[in-house]
Formats: sequence, C-alpha cells, structure tokens
Amino acid sequence: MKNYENYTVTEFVEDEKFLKWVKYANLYPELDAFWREWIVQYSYKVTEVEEARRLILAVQDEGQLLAILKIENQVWERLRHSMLDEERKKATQRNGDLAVAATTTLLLIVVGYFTYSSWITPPQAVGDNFLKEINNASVPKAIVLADGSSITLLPKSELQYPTEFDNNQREVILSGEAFFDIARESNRPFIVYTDAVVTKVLGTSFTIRAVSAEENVSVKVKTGKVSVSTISLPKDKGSSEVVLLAPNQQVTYSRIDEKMRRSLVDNPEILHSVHRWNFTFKDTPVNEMFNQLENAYGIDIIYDEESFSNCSINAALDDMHLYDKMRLICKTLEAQYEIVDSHIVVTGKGCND
Amino acid sequence: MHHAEFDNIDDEALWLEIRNSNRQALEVLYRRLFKMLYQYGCKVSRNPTLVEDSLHDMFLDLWKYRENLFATTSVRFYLFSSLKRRMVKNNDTETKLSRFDFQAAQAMYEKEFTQEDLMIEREHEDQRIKRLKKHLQDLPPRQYEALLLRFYNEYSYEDIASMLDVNEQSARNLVQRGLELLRKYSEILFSYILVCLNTRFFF
Repeated sequence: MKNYENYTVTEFVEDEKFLKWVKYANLYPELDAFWREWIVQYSYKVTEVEEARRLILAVQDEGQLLAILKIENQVWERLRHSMLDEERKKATQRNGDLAVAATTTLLLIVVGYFTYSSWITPPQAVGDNFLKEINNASVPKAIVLADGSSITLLPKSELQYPTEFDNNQREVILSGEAFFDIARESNRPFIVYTDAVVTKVLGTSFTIRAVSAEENVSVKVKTGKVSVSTISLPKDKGSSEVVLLAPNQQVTYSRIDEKMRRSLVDNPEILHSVHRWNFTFKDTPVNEMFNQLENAYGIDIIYDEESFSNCSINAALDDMHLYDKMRLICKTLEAQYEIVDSHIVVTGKGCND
Repeated sequence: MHHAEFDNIDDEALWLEIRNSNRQALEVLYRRLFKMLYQYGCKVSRNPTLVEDSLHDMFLDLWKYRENLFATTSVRFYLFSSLKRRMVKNNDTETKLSRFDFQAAQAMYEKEFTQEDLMIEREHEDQRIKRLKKHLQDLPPRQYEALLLRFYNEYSYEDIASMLDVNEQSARNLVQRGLELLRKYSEILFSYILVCLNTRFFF
C-alpha cells in the first residue's frame, strides 16, 4: 500500500488510482469507498486532496469542452451542406416545373430566383443610384456593401448607400444606430453622414448613434482611427469642429449646445494584438502595472509618478472590465480615478511617507 | 462563425428570425444550444452517433419546415423534447440499442427532465475550477496539450512524447511545469480574492 499520507498535490494528481477516482467515482465503487475512508482517516490531507481534485476536474472539463466543440463543428458542416442541398433541390424543382409551364410563369421565375438566392429582403431603390435599407424589425440587420464593408443596422434605423461607390470616396447616410466594420482602402475614405456629424475613416470599426429625437449623437471607436466633424452650416463663419478618435474613445455631440465632447467608451476593450495580456500582479511596481494597462487598452493613464514610485501592488485583475480594474487598484492604493477627456487620471497620496 | 450582433437576442426572437429564413439566426441558435443539447442527448442514449445524427436531422427539419414554425414561449423546452422524441424514433427504426437499455434510458429521461434542468449548467459550479480552466487556457500551448493528453486522454508518457515529438523526460517536464504554473496562478488568486471558503466537500 502506498503511503499516500506523504503525497504532495502533484503526486496525487499523477497517481493512477487517484485520477480514476476523481474522474469516474461512480464507475469504481470500491475505489470510491477506499478514498472516502482514507480521507476521513487522514483528514489533515484534505487541502491537498481538494486541490489535486480541482486540477484534475479542470483539465477534464476542458477536454470535454474541446471534444464537444469538435463535434459541434463537424455536425454544423454536415448541416450546412444538407441545407444547401435542400435549397438546390427546391430551386431546381421549381425551375423544372416552370420550364414546362406557359409564358405567364416567366414572372414567377424572376421572383423565385430573388427569394432563394438572397438571404435578406432586397433594399428599396431611392432615386437613381441610391438604395435604402430600413430596419423595422426588433433584431439587428446585417448589410454587406460592394467594397466588402459590413454594417449592422440596429432596429428603427435607416441606411442610404449608392449601388456603386464613387471613385474617390465611399459615402453613406445613416439615421439611427449602426455598427460599422469598414474594409480598408487608403485611396477611398469611407464617410458616414448623419444629420449632425460626419464620420470619416480609411478602414476601421466603430458605432454611430444619431437618433433625431435624441439630444446627443455619439461615435464610439472599436478599432482604427476615426475623424468626426460637425456639419457647418453655410451661415456660420467659423469652420466646423474636428475630433480625431482612437480605439476605446468616443465623442458625444450635443444638439443643444452644438459641442463635441471626447471621452472613453463604457467598456474599453483590450486592443487586438498577438500578445496575450496577463493582469496578475505580484509585488509589481505601480509604474509597471500602469504601463501594462496603457499598452493593453491604448488609453493614457495620468498619475504622479514620483509619489507613486515606491508603491507596489498585489492584485489579480484578469477577466474584468477596465473600470473594475481601476476601482480595485484605487481601493488598494487608497486613490481615486476619473475619466478626463480620453485619459484616466489617478490621484492619491502615493506611498512616500 | 460568430455573429456578435446576435449576442443579445433571445432564443424566441431567433426562432422568429429563422421562420423568416434568416440563416445566420439558425447558426446562432445552433451554436448557442449545441453543447447543452448534445450533453442531454448523451444522457438519453449512450450511442453518440445516434445523438449526432438526431441533432443534425432536427436542425435540418427546423430549416426545411421553417415556414410552419409556430411561436413558442420556450425554444429550449421545445428543442429538448423534440430531440428526445427524435432519438426514440431513430432508435426504434435502427434497433441499435437493446430493448432493455432503451427502457432504462427512457426511465432516466422521465425522472430527470424538468424545466430546472434546462437552466442549470451541467458543469462543475465550483468557482475555483472555473478559474483554473481559464488559467489552463492561458498556459503555453505545449504545456496545455501535455496536460490534456495526460489527464483527459490518459495517454502514457511514452505516447505523449511521440505525439508532441519530444523525449519522454521532456514530456514529463511539460506536465510538471504546467501543473506548477496552474498552481501558482490559483495560489495568487486565492490569497487576494475575498471568497467564502467552500467548506462543503464533494461528499
């Protein structure tokens, strides 16, 4: 009999009898009885046993998750092909029937082709070359433009766009709210007109909300750089205001005072990069920690480096919103933070006594 | 493919979108519910092929007869019971399971299928295990692989070595290192997150 009472956590994990028990207790009743009795007898080992058990279960869950995901993808591929076959069968069946029929059915062929080959209802034609997409449903609607850009039109919103873009620029008109994911073309800026502001990009993703009944208009940037300017009326002498936004920044335009205010989005996201950020800090100097946060989110954090230079921090800040991270950090450092313009400003007495 | 714009749409709204021939909505619903439905199917029958085929057929029919879909107050309830019905039917015609096995499965279904089951995640609810899983995913890829091969697939170190193209000692080191890192991460968390110690053990 092994002297399990001297086992470390790792030794438990690597032990075959232990592994079998944790994974398949109900299939090995004798083993189950053995371990339960053993734990009662050697109750001081319970912490090690629990930790070892958790490690094994975590790997087990992960393995099962991957296995099911694999099956999910396989079944989806089958399903996708089956669905396509089904549509083809329906289409050929229809065409087959119609081919035998008289001239009046010619109209039906046109309608049939349109219904089966496009997955979204066709946009309305407005004027000569412009199309209008209206979303009257309660779910977002996806639109793909000729340049490959994709726009998600939210409910109660409208988008007008030309059948073919200009050679020099790509222009659309938005009323309501939409998320834009614009294909990058350095020679052709993409411009979104709303009744209050004009947003111009080369290739980025962002959200614009411009509802005529609402006081504020906002533009929130997810990736890339965006320039937002107010629409200046001919009678105004001054030029319009322009604001350049970076990821995680937003600008709010007030229809009442006709001013733009820059700030940060409600939930800043970590910038897309190859680096996998780790926000667990152990005795980390505070400067280093703020640097990491700045790099990860692309947001400037302003604080008095001198007074915080002796501070170090222990904290586990993964998997939480940036503002929750800031809240915990400030709690630990006995400081406060606030969003000023598009920066985070931290104030506190620091660690110099 | 992940359609992020559908993240906040509930099942019942997706259902109506499917009726309107929205293919994306079907994929979103499929991916949202597959794991749960699959795990449920595996409880009804121990034959994984039967479960996969039934899931495939169910979603295909959903699409084929989408115009006849009626509004439902619980899409999940409908899909779970539809899956079970279909598995019973498929199995009868194929007679893969013996009669006895099937009756046992039937009994298990009768006893366990409740509304509550639909809501409870059938994973370990222990927060510490959940966090461990997150850290597991953050491990260097080869250590991650090694841990899965050793403790999920239960391969020998010899086999793991040849699968990862290293010698046996390196394979052991990968597992050791992986375990060390996992333990190190959870140790930090444990000290600095205020959590009521879970004194209820597994028995």
